[in-house]
Amino acid sequence: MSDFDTYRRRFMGGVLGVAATAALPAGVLFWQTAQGEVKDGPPASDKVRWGMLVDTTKCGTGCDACVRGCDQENGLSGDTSPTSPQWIRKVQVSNPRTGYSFSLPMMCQHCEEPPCVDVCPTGASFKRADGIVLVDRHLCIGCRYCMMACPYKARSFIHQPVTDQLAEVPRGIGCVESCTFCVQRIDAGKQTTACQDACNAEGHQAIYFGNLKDPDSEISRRLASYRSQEVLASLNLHTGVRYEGI
Amino acid sequence: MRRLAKGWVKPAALGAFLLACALTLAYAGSGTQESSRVPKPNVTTAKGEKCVEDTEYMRKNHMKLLRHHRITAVHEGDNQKTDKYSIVNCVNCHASAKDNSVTGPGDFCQSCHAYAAVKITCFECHSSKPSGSPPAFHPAVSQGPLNKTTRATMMRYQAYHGRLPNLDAGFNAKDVAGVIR
Repeated sequence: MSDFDTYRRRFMGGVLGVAATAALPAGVLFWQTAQGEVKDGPPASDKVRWGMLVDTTKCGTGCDACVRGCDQENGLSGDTSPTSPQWIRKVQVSNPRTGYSFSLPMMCQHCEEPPCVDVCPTGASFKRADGIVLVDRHLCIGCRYCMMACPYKARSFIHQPVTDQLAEVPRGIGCVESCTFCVQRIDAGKQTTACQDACNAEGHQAIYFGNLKDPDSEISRRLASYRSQEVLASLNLHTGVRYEGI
Repeated sequence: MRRLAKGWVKPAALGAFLLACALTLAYAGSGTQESSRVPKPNVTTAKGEKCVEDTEYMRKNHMKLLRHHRITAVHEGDNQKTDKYSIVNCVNCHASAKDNSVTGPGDFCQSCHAYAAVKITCFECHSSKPSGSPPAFHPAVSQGPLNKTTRATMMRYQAYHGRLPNLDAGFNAKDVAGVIR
């Protein structure tokens, strides 16, 4: 192992040089630090599976309260340029034949069988015991395979240095990131997400969040009584986010 | 008489000379410590009486504690076990009163890391301000994106190629393939 230490500097210099020549993404070899700090709350357990239900019939066209709530909670800039990190996107879906149109928030679907985890070469993309799919930024090298693998285009890459991060949500250049189901809140013992709170505050109440493994939770009861669907259900990813009215 | 005097004076002169040299060196030595060209790190702490472990232990092992905490916090979602070793906890106590940060010039983390010539990459992602403090200015010390050398990168290289890189032969695209796969 001590050989490694003697090699490191020259090695990385050479590799970075070759990487630049090959016009590889600049973030590809970066090694980042991240993730939330919290106070109380139980550790992630497989007795819980966090899930979300979006009632698109209540989701307001043109309303982006959930996106703003997410940005505020997680310290995102709110910029929507193609290279800006966006954890939630509002999507307008319309049927050109009938003219019927509705909108929905699209974010990480927290799959039970996440393709992003399958392709990650470093183990940075992982699923917690409670079903939340996360990126360990300490391990992420910014290769963005997970972004290509995700059928929902839910992940973003941080291209620019980040300053003024929130203490609870560390994030920085060279890493991939996506919706975390507000993991900092969950680890602190709360059971709501920022987008849900924002949606409720706006009066739409289109987002339900809770434990899918608890048959008495509000989300489970609602799932049992109304028809809901996964997006791209044919992929058999068994997403944690489901939609009504799509 | 002359011969006797000569035989006695020579060793005495030599002794006096050596003593003078020793005193000069001792003086110069003490002077160097006080007015070194390398500034001593600032290890004063703004808040709290003592750290979560002994100072000597923390000096040597703070990175191990942080590393352990990151695994329990990120992967297990459990901060109760090791919350006192979280990086947020470090920053909350060690942020300087001057600029409310640990990464400005002369601040706790930065000054010691500059002294030891070890780059801190923690604060590219983690906040260098105490939790709850409002967003402020860019850290005065630039934490550039390069030089994130990792042992793991080397190990991936070795796993792929079955050997360490021959640094004298230069690199080609195949070497990069071994690293990023």
